[in-house]
Amino acid sequence: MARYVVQRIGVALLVLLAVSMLSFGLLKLSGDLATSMARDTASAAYVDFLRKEYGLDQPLPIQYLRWLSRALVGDFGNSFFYGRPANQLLAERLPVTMVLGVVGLFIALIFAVPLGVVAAIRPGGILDRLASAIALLGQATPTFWLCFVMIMLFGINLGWLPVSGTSSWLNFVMPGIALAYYGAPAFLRIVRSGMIDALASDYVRTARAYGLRPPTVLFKHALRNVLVPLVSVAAVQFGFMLGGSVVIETIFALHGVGYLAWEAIAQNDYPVVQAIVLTVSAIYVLLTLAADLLNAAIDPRIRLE
Amino acid sequence: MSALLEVEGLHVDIQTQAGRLEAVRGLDLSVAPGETLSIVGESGSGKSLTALAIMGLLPPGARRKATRLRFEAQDLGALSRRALEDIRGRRLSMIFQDPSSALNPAYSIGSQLTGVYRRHRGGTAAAARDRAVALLERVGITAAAERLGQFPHQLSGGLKQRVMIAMALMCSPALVLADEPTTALDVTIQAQVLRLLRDLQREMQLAIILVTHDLGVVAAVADRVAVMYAGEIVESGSVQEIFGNPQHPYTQGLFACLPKGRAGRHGERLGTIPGLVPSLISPPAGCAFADRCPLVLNECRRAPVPNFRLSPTHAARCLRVAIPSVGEAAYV
Repeated sequence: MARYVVQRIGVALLVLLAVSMLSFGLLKLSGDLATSMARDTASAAYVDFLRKEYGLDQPLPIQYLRWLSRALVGDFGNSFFYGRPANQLLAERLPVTMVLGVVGLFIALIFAVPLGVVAAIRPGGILDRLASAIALLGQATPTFWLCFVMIMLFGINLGWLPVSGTSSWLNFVMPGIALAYYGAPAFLRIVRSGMIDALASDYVRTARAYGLRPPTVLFKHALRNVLVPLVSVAAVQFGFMLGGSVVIETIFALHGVGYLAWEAIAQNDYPVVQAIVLTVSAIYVLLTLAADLLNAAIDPRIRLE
Repeated sequence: MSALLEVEGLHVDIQTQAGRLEAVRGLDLSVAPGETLSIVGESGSGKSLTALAIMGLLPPGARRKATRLRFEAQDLGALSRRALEDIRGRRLSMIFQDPSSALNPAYSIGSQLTGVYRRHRGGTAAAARDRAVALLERVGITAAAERLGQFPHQLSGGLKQRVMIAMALMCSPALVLADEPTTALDVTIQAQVLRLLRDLQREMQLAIILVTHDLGVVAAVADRVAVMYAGEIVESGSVQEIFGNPQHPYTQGLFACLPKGRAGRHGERLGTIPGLVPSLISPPAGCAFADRCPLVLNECRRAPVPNFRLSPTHAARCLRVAIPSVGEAAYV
């Protein structure tokens, strides 16, 4: 087990290193930083000054190492646009996105897991077809459209929920549902197909042969073996939700990381873009690592590999 | 002695793409307390489906019909799902062919063993644990208490099958259906597991239905034998009767396929039964073995062949038995 954990952490660190190189490389590929910082009207002398000032005249490996050593302590430099440290901006926005992501993940799971289990009991049955229809609808419905429908129905016509801002937990209900709607079909499908396999397996037949009650067979013996792929998919999907909530954050005026990323890209605000890319990647890698470790706890066979 | 299990007119149909397949066609059998009945047949003869049909564990798409299906004076066909669940694992149990897939990979063997016991007997976790340790020791697993925490993938095939046997016996059932219990094991382990089954049977007054394709296994443990072919029992009798005086040409053919003599003389040709098992989607009107039978008569194909009784225990579904002059089937 210890060996497995060390190995997983090692892989995670390597991935992060690769991401940092890519992130740094992308910045370099996007053109001469000094020129773009100096704007069009600046003199050549000023551009040179900036180049020296920011160390851009140094060889690339040196620049990378300097940049990395600062990034490691969270220093990504100042935002070109806000003039404040990029990490500060990120720290302000991250909680909103995290709350939204967790709410969305939670809603998606409590909806998709039971539905997937029920659908798998009788493949091709009425509940299964209903679940497939919901999943298809979920993937075919544009998120922004769903957001607008919800805003019109619950926000404006019924007046039950606030339509923008982050003042209370009620603000996260509609965005959370929208995000869950986007994430749930993947969970539904993995639970359904996993349960169909598990229910047709020999060990489920064994459980039934020894008279275990259907709920025990279903939720103890079968579902446990679906958790491993579910956890893996959930980690990836949670990462997508964190990174892909731009539309939802924009519509509901939730000032989260997605919204910040969109602004920063539009304004060539490289320090902020880098901070976001690295932080979101780090979260992603951490999630994957957490999923691997959780799976090792769930499935004893993984620990020994 | 009154029968523990009585089966009459058992049919199993499977819905396939090509049509309805009659996998088991009117099968009768009975098992007395404490005896071992072996059902022998090649793959596709319907022997495993017979066992699953008795358990009520047929796969989706398969349907069971029976004129009589009684176990311990209860009609298994008329029981509610819950009542059947109360019997399964407690009075009527099953050992499966491949212990590697039949044990749940996500739970320790202790958890799986005690789960069965507590489901039927209730009681404390400690009591269930004691029972599990006692049974693991009985099936020949050393350091049983430590093994409880191990997972199936940490055990060898032979050990897993011993765990499976222990699990089937947790609640001291009256009848165990063993579906090819040694097929997935190494030859050396097979003998040990068979010996264990035989010993446990004597010790626990256990009745066993042993489903196998292996006549060696039959000889080692069975009291009575039922030979299945194409969904029917073609011959049944005591081990002595079947091995010493096989009457049905198919049974004789099975023995002709075995190497003669223990050592298996070098260069000896093994017998084969020519032809193929008939399709059971539209089974033949007469004897299903007619097309492969060296002694076939015109009458064989006309109508279903009745079961002819040769002794109180021995019967064969073959017209030749009623016409004794024809002589023995010759197989090369």
